[in-house]
Amino acid sequence: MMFRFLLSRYLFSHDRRHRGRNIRILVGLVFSMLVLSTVLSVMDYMQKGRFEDLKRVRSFPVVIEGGEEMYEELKREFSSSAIVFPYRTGEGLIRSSRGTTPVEIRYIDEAYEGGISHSGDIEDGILLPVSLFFENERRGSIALSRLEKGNRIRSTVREREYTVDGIYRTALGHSFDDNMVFMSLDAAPEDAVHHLAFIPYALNEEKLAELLRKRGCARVVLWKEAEESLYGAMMLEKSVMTVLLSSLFLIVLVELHRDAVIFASARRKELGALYLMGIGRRRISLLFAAIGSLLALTGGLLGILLSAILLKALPHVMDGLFGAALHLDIISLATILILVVLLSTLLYQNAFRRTLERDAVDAAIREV
Amino acid sequence: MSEVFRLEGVGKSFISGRESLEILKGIDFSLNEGVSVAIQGKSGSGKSTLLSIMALIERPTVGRVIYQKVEAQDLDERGIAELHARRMGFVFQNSLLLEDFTALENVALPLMNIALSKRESYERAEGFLQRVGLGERLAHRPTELSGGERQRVALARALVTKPSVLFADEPTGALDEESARMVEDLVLETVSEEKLALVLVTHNPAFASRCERVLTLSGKELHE
Repeated sequence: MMFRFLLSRYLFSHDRRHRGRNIRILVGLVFSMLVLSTVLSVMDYMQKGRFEDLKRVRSFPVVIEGGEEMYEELKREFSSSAIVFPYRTGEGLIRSSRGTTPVEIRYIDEAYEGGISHSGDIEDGILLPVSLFFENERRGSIALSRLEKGNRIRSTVREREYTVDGIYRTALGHSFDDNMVFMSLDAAPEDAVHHLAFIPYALNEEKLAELLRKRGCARVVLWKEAEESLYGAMMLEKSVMTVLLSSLFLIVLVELHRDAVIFASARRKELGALYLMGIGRRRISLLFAAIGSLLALTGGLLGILLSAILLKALPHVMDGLFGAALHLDIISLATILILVVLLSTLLYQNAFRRTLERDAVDAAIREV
Repeated sequence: MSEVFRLEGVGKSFISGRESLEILKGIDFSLNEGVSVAIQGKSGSGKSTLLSIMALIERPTVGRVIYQKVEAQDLDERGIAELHARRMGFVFQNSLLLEDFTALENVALPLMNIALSKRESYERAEGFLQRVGLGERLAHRPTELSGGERQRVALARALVTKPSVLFADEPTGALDEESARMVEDLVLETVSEEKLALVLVTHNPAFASRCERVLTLSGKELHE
């Protein structure tokens, strides 16, 4: 009973100085957790978002080069665990009024799940990215050169005029769109490379790749392998951000330690008084450790709450930069919150125990 | 009258740099229930250190402190806290009141610490505050009280658990003459009424002379 009584009185102090200090500690914690959880969530969003966009639009989680003869069989086999669709690839040169642009050509049909938004369906013509469409002065046709198999073993470059069936865009934007055109799978030349793409939803991509390899499929490529340098760069960026976040967490810890020492120092004489009342050092340290943990818990939760509100508002305020998928990473934040509360408890207990052992009683009985 | 505590051959030294500084040497002393003792001495003679050793706040470098047949050296943290809570009361020059608590709460806290209910603690604390003339000041915080009133609250807090010994270190040192006289009277009257032992450290010869024994600390030793 006395413990609870002391706890509530020290947390909601009537003394203006002590109350002010408690509020400053709380505000510091709220701000620290707000920054920590917002940065963590934005980072997580950007990393995941970029990985997802790359997987969905450019390289797909698992791709088999060749294997067109197995398409129907694999589609049936993985019908409950993955989307399977075929496409082919080739290269070409687009000639518009602004000049010649090298492009990759993807030959697709209605089964294609490559995350493109387009106007018009592909028939015998071509789907252009928005930029190329405007470079071609919005004309209804465009000249495309591509290698085509000629007589015997010779290939020849042939330029043909194709009808523009529509325009498209993807979540990857210019970096992908400007160098890619889509045509019908039926229009693919003989030497266009066959691919079977797999987008798993009921098993992970490594497992799926393993199953395909076991099944005897050759040239199974995971998206991490297809995008090796980019994936490496993004993982490096993630590591750097992890170090930065850890530094931020370290700053929070230093702040917590400083707060605990200031708190203990400000209450030094009172600690002596409590000790002389017969409340042992251990109980006094526990009392203030409980105060430290409650301050950390309240500050942490308020910081996370404010962060959640901020993250909710960001997509509205900065439309285009952030999407609706921006959200708190609950598991990471819960872990950080538990760590902050535990460390705060330990730091407060340590600060008060040391103050009591060092000079609190002496300060109480000898100072006027 | 039974013995409250006893000091046998107590000495205290502090390490200052490479040198050991001896403050107290070979002190033998015992205190019986209901006896008041004043300890006088020059500033820096070690009076407060001696009181800290008697009150188990500090440990002596050599010698024994025996509380009701229990050697203090054998007591752990909890045992010392128990003695502080139930057997000892303290009044210092600085009243050491808890700033966030009212006069009533300051006095009730030691009772709650020995597991009395909140209601019982408040009732008994109120009675003690009335005894020291502060029945009208129950809800006032320390910052709203004068120096003399603060010391009276401190006295009520020291006595409310009915300890067997009251340690008072310059309890009137920071008060004006009138308040000092009032606190002196109150300390001696309540000690007499409650039949407590009193250890008073003071520079004030008039206050000291009102105690049954007057001891002087000089040359690291205690003289009658």
